[in-house]
Amino acid sequence: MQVHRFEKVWLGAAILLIVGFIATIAYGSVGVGVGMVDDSGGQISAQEVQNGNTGTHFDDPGVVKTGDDKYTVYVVARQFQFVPGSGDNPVQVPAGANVTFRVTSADVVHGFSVVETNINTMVIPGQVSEVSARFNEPGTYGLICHEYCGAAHHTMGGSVEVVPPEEYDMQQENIDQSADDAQAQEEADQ
Amino acid sequence: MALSRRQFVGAAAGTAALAATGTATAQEEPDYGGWFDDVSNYDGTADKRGQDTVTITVGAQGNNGAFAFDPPAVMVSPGTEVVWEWSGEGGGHNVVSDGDGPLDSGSPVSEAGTTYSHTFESEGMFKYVCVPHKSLGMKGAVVVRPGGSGDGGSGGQQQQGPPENPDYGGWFDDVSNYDGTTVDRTDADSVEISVGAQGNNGAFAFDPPAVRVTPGTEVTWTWTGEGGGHNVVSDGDGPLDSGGAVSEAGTTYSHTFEEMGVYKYACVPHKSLGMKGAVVVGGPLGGSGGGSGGGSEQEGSGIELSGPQWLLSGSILLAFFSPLLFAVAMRRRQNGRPPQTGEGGELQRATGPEPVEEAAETEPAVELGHDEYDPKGTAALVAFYFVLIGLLWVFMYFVEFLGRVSIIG
Repeated sequence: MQVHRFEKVWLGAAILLIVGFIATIAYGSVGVGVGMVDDSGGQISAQEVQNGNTGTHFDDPGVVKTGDDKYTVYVVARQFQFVPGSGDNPVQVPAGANVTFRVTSADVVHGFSVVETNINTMVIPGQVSEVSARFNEPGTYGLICHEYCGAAHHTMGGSVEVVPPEEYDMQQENIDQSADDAQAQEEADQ
Repeated sequence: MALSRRQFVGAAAGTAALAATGTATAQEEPDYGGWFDDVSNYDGTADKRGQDTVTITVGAQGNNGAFAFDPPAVMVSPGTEVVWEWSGEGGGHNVVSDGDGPLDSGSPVSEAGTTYSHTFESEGMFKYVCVPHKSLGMKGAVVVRPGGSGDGGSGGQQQQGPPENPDYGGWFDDVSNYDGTTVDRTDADSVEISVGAQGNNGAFAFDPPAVRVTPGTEVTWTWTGEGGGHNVVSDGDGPLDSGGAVSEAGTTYSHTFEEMGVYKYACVPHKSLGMKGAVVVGGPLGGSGGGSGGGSEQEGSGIELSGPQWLLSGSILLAFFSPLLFAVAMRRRQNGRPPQTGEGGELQRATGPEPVEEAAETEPAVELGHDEYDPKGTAALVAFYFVLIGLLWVFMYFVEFLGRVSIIG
């Protein structure tokens, strides 16, 4: 078979391109450390999530500080809202910290996509989807459900607010303070 | 005996029940300003004036799921305590005033049996929503207006019941054996409806699908035994429930309707096929005497097309026959051409058209071997594509993808 030398050149270039694609993806996962969503989140009873008696943080979902600059956000997705996330209850996390989202569904399959980031996972009832990320810059990100979940799927959304760490700590102190105050008040009443 | 009972129940139920719980058709309907436009289960304001407590179900059937308040619109007297009771269906719901208002049950909860109550002291209209499901039409209103408790009972006007041609709200759109008429059986003490009658592409129909009876009439559903297992269950909240689907011929289920209203029901397994029906209890004007009802103007059969539909079907027909028309036009052109004249014209035409002389093949000027020709233009194009793909890849992966916040584990 005769192959023209020009053809040889562009066949070789095509193979090189494919090798280049694979190499960049390998670099992304090994060099940069881009992770994949897997089943590491574990399983949970969707019924218990619905009833709020799982005995985990999903009963009162929100942000939990798990260590120095380590936070876990528990989110329950249900028709048609994220708790927290939707409405006037946005997810608030500090910038620069390692934030792990643990998301589960109380009813049907939902999606959990933080807009303009690569944080994007399916939320399956009975399964906890776990993804970690680090937001370096403060800002507000949209949060949408991108798996059709029912008649008002198009309205299911929310927001993730990334605040500067100092501000975040101050807010937490205020909350703790007010809780302490309330407790002190109660004790004083007694 | 039965007749007297019927008349008695009809009169008693008509006055007492309607005054207390019936839809306030006769009185002035409050102006909600389009609030209920997208609320599927809104069917007038329920007049519950004169009661101390009024219960509203949260998560009732409606708005394509369990996303409704039932009743959505309710009229109460000042000082009435309104209790919202959660059905536990349709996910987490709450009760929050639209705009500034007194109602706020907090964040959505889904647990059945949850209640929230508010006592309305001042007159006015209080609109409220379930925040997560507002866009689905989960909206309601409480109208606080004095009166109604005493004078409603004696009002003879309210005995009318549903109008002559009840508005089923599209309920019968996909029911093949519903011909637009509600069968008037207001003269009968007991009415029989067959379950599994022919219709909806099989034995998936109620016959008659829509029937009008007087209050106190016993309606009996009789199974034909065809079309598999059927049951009779009210649409949404309602009194009818024959239990699980059965297929045995001769099975019966009966219910005596005491209160006026429109009772929609369906066979749960075959609802999507159009196995739906409705019982209209009470009315129209004049009660049982008026046997003239039945929508005589709906008798027009056959296909009726409006202007745009004519245009559409006409153009489709035209498009369908256009090849034929084209062929006819060609034939006419061919025939219209004057016959060719020439030497021995008749003879030539019999042997076919004149042969055309072919162009002679020319010798190639230069012959080239396989490797001697370089397609430089093609090579340039391919190179350009490679550069383009490389640039797009770099931009997409290193800028768009890695430049964003990524999952790190």
